[in-house]
Amino acid sequence: MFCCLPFTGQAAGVNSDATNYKIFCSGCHTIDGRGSGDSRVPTFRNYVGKFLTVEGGRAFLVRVPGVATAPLNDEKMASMLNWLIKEFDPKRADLINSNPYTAEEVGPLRKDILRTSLLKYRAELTQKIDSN
Amino acid sequence: MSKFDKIFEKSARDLARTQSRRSFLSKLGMAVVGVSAIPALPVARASSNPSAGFSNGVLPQENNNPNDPGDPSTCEYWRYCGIDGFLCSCCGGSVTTCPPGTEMSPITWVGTCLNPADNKHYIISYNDCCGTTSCGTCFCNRNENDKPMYRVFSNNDTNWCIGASSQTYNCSTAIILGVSADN
Repeated sequence: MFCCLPFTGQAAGVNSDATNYKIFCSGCHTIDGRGSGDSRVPTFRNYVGKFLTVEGGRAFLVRVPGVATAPLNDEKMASMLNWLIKEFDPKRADLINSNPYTAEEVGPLRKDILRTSLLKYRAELTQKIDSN
Repeated sequence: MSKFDKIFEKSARDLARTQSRRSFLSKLGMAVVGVSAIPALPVARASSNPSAGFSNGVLPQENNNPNDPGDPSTCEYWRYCGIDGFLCSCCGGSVTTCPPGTEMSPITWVGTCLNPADNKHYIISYNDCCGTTSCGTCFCNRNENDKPMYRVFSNNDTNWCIGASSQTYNCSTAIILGVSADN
């Protein structure tokens, strides 16, 4: 009924990126990446890769609280983010294939969690994306 | 006036001629006995048997699938290890479907539970059913391994009916999304 986000503080193991997405992200973002159907959980589909095209967007995808705090190590998280962009925004797969997230990149960014500024920061980025 | 008198007198005499007094009494008697006998019929007897099922009004649900053991109408059922709410299995739905008149929220919370049949951890999605008032039967709150990490919405627990057209919570399902290799 009421809860917070996915739980299960499991150690990262041999789960695939798709399985990690299911456990740690799909509750809110839905299995097919469509989100809640309104602005509260925005869709990934044919959109999430656009964040890579604007300044600050690449870091934003790591700094959002769900990514920053998920109980996956940096390597697993980088791998899942790469999978997520290719899975839900295949048209922009080249953007991530040519420059994938790495554990070294993701680690420091995850410590800089967007909390109260999340929605404002996101709105600024999407404004930039939509004006491109 | 005399015209009305004649009409009613005639109808009363016709009735008295064709219907015996015993006939009326016997029909009245049948009605009285019949009405009092209805509650004695074996209808809805389950609701008064406190030993049946999860709680009053719920019968045990047979489950003959050895790979998915247990009774989905009880809080002890393995898939409910992270649930917090009313069990749809007791509310006119099932462990995977919403009761009639309600709608499944696309936004949910997800966890993993150990299936005792094969000792594997399954990814379970606790989709809420929304749209009618709270079911109120079979409340189950286990929240095993619950580790809340982040709250999207500022100041209260998330209502998982946000993705549905009605935000009124009815009950929760427990749908298998897959197997987790981690344990």
